[in-house]
Amino acid sequence: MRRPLLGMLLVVAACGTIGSPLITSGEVYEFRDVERGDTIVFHWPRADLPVRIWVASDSPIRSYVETAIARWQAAFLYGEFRATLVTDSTIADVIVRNTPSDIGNGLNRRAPQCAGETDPNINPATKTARLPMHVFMYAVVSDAIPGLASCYGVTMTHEFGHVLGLLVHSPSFGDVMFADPRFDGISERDRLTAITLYSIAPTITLTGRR
Amino acid sequence: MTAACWRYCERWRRDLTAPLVRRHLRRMRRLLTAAMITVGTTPLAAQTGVQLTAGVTSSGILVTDGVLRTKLRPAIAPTIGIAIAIPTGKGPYRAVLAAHYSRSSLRVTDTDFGTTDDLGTLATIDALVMAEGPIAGALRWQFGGGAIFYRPSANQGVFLDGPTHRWLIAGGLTWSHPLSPHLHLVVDGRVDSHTFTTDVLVARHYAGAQGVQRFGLHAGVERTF
Repeated sequence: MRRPLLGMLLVVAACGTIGSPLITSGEVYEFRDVERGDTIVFHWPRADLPVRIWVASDSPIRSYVETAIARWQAAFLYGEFRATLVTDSTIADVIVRNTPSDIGNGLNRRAPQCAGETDPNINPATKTARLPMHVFMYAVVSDAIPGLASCYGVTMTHEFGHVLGLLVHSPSFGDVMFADPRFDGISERDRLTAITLYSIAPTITLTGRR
Repeated sequence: MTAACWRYCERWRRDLTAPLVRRHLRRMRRLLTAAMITVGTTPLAAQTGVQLTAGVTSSGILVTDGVLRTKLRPAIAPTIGIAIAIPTGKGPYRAVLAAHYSRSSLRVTDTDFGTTDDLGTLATIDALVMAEGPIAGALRWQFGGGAIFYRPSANQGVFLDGPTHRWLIAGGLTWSHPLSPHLHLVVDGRVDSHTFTTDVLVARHYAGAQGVQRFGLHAGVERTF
């Protein structure tokens, strides 16, 4: 009697499969861009992970970059997005500077205390993204003004959302990818949207460095 | 050999049926020797022993994500183990306390894109309490249970909340061969089974748990007392 029972326990334990939650369309926002009538989907291919990020070692925004990386990495369960800080900007995939943009036409965000801009360097005609990408974040008020640190935290997380491929702003106020975000973190909709992005094939390939 | 034999042997030899296979007796001797080693060795019953083993462990898939079509699985891991076997009485049974440490890379496979990626290393430690008894000669069964401890190299992905542990059941066969009065060569094959989930999977609404089977093959020595 005991042997069949133990055998059944083994079989039951070995055969179960974990149930993955479904992601419905209502739980995500649009993350694809449309240029010239064509849909643009970009995300980092696994072969190019971890993404190499450069920010000056003495930059006042370095800790916000580290926080943004940690936040977005934690959104994924299977290492779909991973990034690491590098000391040499010439080998970086993404360069982050604490200055106003000298490129323009990027995805930008401006709050009362600080502003941010990401230039993913995507060419819709050739369907390529040329590395390195550039991220700018800078204070528009004095460092002494309260709220600057919070602004930096929200803005850098928002800009890294663009870096990982969320090319369109969320329509919801509660998401960090909202055009003028207040949410300091990654909402459930942000997370599910990023997961959805990395589960479909990109239409953009990387060129340039590497 | 008698004188009569000397006289008639040649004729007897001619009359005997010739062997179909040359050196068949030598083959039979080898087979007999192998069989004696397998079943004829003195069992380790009622002997206290300490085992040190090394081998490999192959783990099943930890997570099969049906929605993201992704599979997470540790690579085949080199394993070291230590065990203490204590007789349970005058009979041939022993209680075995065993622990194994294995370490390998954690691999994720995207079934849609056909890509495989390395997500750092994953160490596992299992601690088992097993009963052991004889089957035939030097071959013995083991069955029991314990816990498996997962130690990822980084707190990320399904291990975002860090190390975790699960209960497991295990069974297997062990074979031993004496090298000296108190030293034995041991080889054991084991299968264990547990269910896998983590706090972050539960928090992200993954239902139930994944059944995981592991297969281990270890060889080593046992010192008996």
